[in-house]
Amino acid sequence: MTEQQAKKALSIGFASPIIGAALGVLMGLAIFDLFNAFEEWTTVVLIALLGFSIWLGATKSGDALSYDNKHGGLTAAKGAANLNSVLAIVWMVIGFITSLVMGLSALQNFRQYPEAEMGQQPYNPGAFTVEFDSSVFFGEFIPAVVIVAMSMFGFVFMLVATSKVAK
Amino acid sequence: MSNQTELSARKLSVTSLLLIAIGATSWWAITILANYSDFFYDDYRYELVTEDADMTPKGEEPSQFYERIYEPVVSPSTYLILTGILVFAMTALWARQIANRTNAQFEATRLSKTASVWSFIAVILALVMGVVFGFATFVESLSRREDIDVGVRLLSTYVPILLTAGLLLFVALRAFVLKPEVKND
Repeated sequence: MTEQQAKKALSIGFASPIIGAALGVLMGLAIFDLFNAFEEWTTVVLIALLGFSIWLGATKSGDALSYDNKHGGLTAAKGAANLNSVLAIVWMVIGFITSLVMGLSALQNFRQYPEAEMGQQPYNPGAFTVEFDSSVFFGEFIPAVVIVAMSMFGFVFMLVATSKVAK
Repeated sequence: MSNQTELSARKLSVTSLLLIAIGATSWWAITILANYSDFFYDDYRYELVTEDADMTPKGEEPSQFYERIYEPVVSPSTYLILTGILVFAMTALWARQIANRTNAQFEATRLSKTASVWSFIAVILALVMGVVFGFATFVESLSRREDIDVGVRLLSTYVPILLTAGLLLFVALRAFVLKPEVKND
């Protein structure tokens, strides 16, 4: 890797998470404004976009750090790698909490209560059945599984990316 | 550091990090399963009650409602949550063992240091989760009524707290005191 390439990698290392976060926020807002709804799969796409931008930043800052360890002269490389590591932690925690909340909320939607009719028996809170609902399973539960897997294993890839050894 | 050594150190560090990720994902799955099991085991059952006819105004039907009756049961979710903590703690311990071995056998790299730090954090997190679970079980038991079956009381409060204490003791000793010997070949 030449010095020019290392500087370019460092720039991407700093810029990528910022651009990814800004794009993610704007995209989320635009979807909410256009469709007045925020589906679970949209959350998956947004978290994946954020994750990809942090992973790219981590990889590039890892390359720059690797160059700095071997040749020196790129002092900001460590800062970029640390920044991306911190962002990776924040991203992982947000993803994990989101998936847990989404998964638990999807579980509640598997419960089916009998429809209340006027003049019928009073409401019985214990009279629910647990039924498989494919729209809840694929629309709410599977996104939660995807997010938890993505946040945990993506986090490992990000940590590995920021810890490259000079060759 | 030779390429072969570097590769082995890298592989061990990645394995350590992956183990923590697997542990956390397993904890997530078991927590979801525990919440699902709560649908079928509830401390309350509902019984239809008809209001006394003498209390009802003339010309009106006596009103009916469902009364909540307290009938505590041993909920599997208690043990499932404990299992989730156990799985996470075991993978964290395993990850820490691998990270320690990597640090002892190979020259320290940024990745091996990262694996070491994260395995330590995972062990601490497992301990915190155990403490929170034990304390929550204790506080929940205080809110339960006294006329509870002894067997249910034992299995839903005393046994989980004892098991949690045992788990915490094992994890703390294994992680910080009785560390497995690292062979230095």
